Amino acid sequence: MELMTATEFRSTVRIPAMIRRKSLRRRDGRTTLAVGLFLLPAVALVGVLLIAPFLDTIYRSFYNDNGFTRSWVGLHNYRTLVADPAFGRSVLNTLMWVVGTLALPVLLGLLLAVGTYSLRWGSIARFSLILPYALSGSATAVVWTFVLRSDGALNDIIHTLAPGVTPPGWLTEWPLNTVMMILASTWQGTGAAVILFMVGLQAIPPETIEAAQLDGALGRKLLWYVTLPQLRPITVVVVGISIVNSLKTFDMIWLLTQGGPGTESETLALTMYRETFTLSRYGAGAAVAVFLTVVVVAASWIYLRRQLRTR
Amino acid sequence: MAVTATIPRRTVLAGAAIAGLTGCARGTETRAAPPGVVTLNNDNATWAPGYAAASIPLHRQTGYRLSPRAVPNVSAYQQIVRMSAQTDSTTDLIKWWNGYRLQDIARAGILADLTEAWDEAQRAGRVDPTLRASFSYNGKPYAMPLYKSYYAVFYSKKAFAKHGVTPPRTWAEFIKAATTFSKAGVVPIAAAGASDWESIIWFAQVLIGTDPGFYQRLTAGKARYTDPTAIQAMSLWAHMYSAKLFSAPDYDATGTPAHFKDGSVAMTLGGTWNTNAYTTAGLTDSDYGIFLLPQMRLSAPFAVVVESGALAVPINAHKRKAALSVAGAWLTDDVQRAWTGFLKDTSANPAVVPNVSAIRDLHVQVADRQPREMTRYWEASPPALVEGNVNELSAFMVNPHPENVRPTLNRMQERADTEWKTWNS
Amino acid sequence: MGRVIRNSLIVFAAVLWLVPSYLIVVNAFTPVADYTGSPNWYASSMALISNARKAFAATNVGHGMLNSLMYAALGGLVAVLAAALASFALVVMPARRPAAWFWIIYVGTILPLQAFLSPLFNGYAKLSLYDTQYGMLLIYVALCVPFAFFVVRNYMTTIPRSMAEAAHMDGAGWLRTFLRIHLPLSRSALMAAFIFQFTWIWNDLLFGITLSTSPNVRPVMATLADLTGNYSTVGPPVVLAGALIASLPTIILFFTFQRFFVRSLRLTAY
Repeated sequence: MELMTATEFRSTVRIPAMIRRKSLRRRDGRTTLAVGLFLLPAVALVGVLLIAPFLDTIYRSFYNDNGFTRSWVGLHNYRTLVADPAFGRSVLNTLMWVVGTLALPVLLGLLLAVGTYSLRWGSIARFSLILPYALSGSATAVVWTFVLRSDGALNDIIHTLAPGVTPPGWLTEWPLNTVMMILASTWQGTGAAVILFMVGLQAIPPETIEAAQLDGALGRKLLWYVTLPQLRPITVVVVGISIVNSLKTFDMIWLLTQGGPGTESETLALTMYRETFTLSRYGAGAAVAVFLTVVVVAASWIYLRRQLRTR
Repeated sequence: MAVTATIPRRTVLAGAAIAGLTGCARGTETRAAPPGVVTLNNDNATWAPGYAAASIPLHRQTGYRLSPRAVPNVSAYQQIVRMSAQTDSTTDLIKWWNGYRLQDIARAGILADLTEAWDEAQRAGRVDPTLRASFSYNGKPYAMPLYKSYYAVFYSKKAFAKHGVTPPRTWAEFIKAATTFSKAGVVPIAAAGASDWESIIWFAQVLIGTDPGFYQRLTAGKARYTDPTAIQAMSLWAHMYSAKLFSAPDYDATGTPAHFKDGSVAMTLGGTWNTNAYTTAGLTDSDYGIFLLPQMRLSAPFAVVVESGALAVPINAHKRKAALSVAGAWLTDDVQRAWTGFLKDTSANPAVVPNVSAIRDLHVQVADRQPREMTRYWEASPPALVEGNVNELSAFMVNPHPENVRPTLNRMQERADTEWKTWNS
Repeated sequence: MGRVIRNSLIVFAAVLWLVPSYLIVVNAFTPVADYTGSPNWYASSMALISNARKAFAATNVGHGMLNSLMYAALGGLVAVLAAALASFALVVMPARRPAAWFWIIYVGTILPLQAFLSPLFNGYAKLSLYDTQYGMLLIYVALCVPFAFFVVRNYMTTIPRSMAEAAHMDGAGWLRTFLRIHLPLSRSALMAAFIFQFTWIWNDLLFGITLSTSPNVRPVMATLADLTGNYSTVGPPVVLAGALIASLPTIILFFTFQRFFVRSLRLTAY
């Protein structure tokens, strides 16, 4: 059941002409001022503290900058970036992260939110899912290193259950390490998706569900034809945020493998960090940042353009 | 739809929020320090008690105490210093590294010249004059040695006693000991480095054990990673892995104290600053000892890797004069005794040795055999080159097959070609 | 039958998810002297308090927690409020080019954080905002607005326009419509956004390390990071104990507010 737009509403209700003129869509000086004031805090904060420094970063990407002196090099940083063999691997890893993060936490979050919504013990089940999200990054890093190290918990289990088998290097072999880190990230991120889907489920009027059930929709049919469409606004949020976060993944990889061994499990965010913070090549790091931002904006634009519905 | 009590309540809340905001305090430690105190920036929060201990004799001598600040992450620390040293948000003193890392920031003109302090220290015999070169840029020194650590082998006395092994004096004895441990199911040599800087420890060691002169030329850019000596040294390292003499490369070094105590790990090559961690974890003199690793080629002169942190004064420091006098007083016996008493590590001042039997032992060994002192790889070449090669070596440690030696060295040489050109331009 | 399968799958998932958390708790109970580098599977002794005490003694964690509480609570609140105002403006009010404004604010979540640390640091140093509570609060609010905006805005699109129009016909101005209708109706989205931003600010490490150093300004994760530094003398048990204690506020927050999401609407059997 789609929500009616304003025009549909107006067409179903007869409103006297005099009142109709005072419609919400009137634009005059006072309204524009009001709109401006409402927008001001958010736009000012984001513009001054986030966008302005980023514009500075774009500017920096055209220089050879070591923090002390800078010299103009034009597109040199971008050309070196693309020619770097590690760059291709970095892009590949980033893509792997996007696919993994979209497939796992979002899907699992949806299924688990819907599945536990009407259970009496649902909040207990959800707690174990949400707990990882509330834990700090250092605890997460320590425990996953515990689990995945050569003498860690996972190999402990394997040695007990299958003594002759030599386990692979969970964190030391590519692409296995990327897969394991995606799993660790799923462990942490599913809780957030669950919460957001819970918010979305809360917004569905119970009458809608009841009406559909009266019509004979049950189980999967109910989910597919009724619940999911109702969840669309929140799904857009979850998927949109997942796209952005997966493209920007940094913390988990930095804490577990530092992009290693060598630079094999690096994503674009790590390449940027390495250039900027470890090698002090600010210009090159800025170029990676600009490239990454363009990719993320493009991906978000493609997804959100069709989903955005303001009126 | 009259709006009544809710609006005033929200206004009150808003007013409280604004009041809270304006009452927000400024950081207590970024403005110029209070009188009698100089601020110090470093990347190690656990050394605060050491600085406090050293502040007592420092205050006596110069009238200033140290107020340390820590940035816990090494890369973040370096960036913060680079950024802040150009502004007046810098601390009065900074901890840095020597060698090319020091040159990297000294050449930007952000550090104060410490020639006077060095001359004074040399005159009073408080420092080994051969150290000066690694603290200088363009002939002028820009930092004092914060500490001086040797890279030697820590061993578990329990493991050694249990398997009848004594500290080896030749390379052959060392390999024999390691093989004994390997056969007995004890990890012979614990070596980390799969994802961090520790991969350079054994790389540097096999090089200086084969030809220390070559190591010096290599790190100065005058020899190539693809030269036969380098290939030979690294193949030796690969063969040690084939003989199962090393732990897995993602070994967690914080577990070493417990492993030493129960004898499940026999040896590890590391900096002597590790004694602090071991003592804090409860190890005593009867649990561990230290010996210098013998050279691998009998004809090679005996050498040891030395790590020496740097204490520098940024030019933009609020209290530059005070900081300069503190830097000058750093190497005095009193201060070093207090400092190394905490650090439990050898001092740059040859007259001061902390009261830890393993360290005293090492000090005697060093005085006895007079090894040539090599700068640690981390500081021995331009930073960008080292950082890149650390990644290569980490990847090698994960895959330490003899066939991997030449490709790794080739890549390291390619990087060296590019980075030396950038450094010298 | 289907329900049994579904329920057992959920139980399986919940138990699987708990394993790493269980390891964290158990290993935080291990005394440092017994830590051999391999994780323990069961608590061998009750050293949690002494480990935590070591963590608190080695660093300024207590002070950090107070700072973070202020940043997370106040910062989250202000960010959510600013986001709600902007969402209202773009969804309900007749703004020109709402899509453009959406992207201007949304782009804040897209920017890779590490990229602008350097210009931000320099700007802060010039404006004397470096190492001040005000400075930290400002950047945290700015970083949280975009995501909160995204969540609240999308939620507000589900509120029927009829309600705003009815209020308008009754003569209520924009502010009153916002405060009396849309804000209360978006409660669950606002709560969710606030909880996420609170957690994000609480768990932030990067900005805490870079933009502050004094103990009365530093947030909690930056102080905890002292325990895992390069030359650290403490092992994972102490780190885990410290991290557990430091994570308690967010854990409690999540647990408490989880019930909020489910309380009013209860769907009958699926």
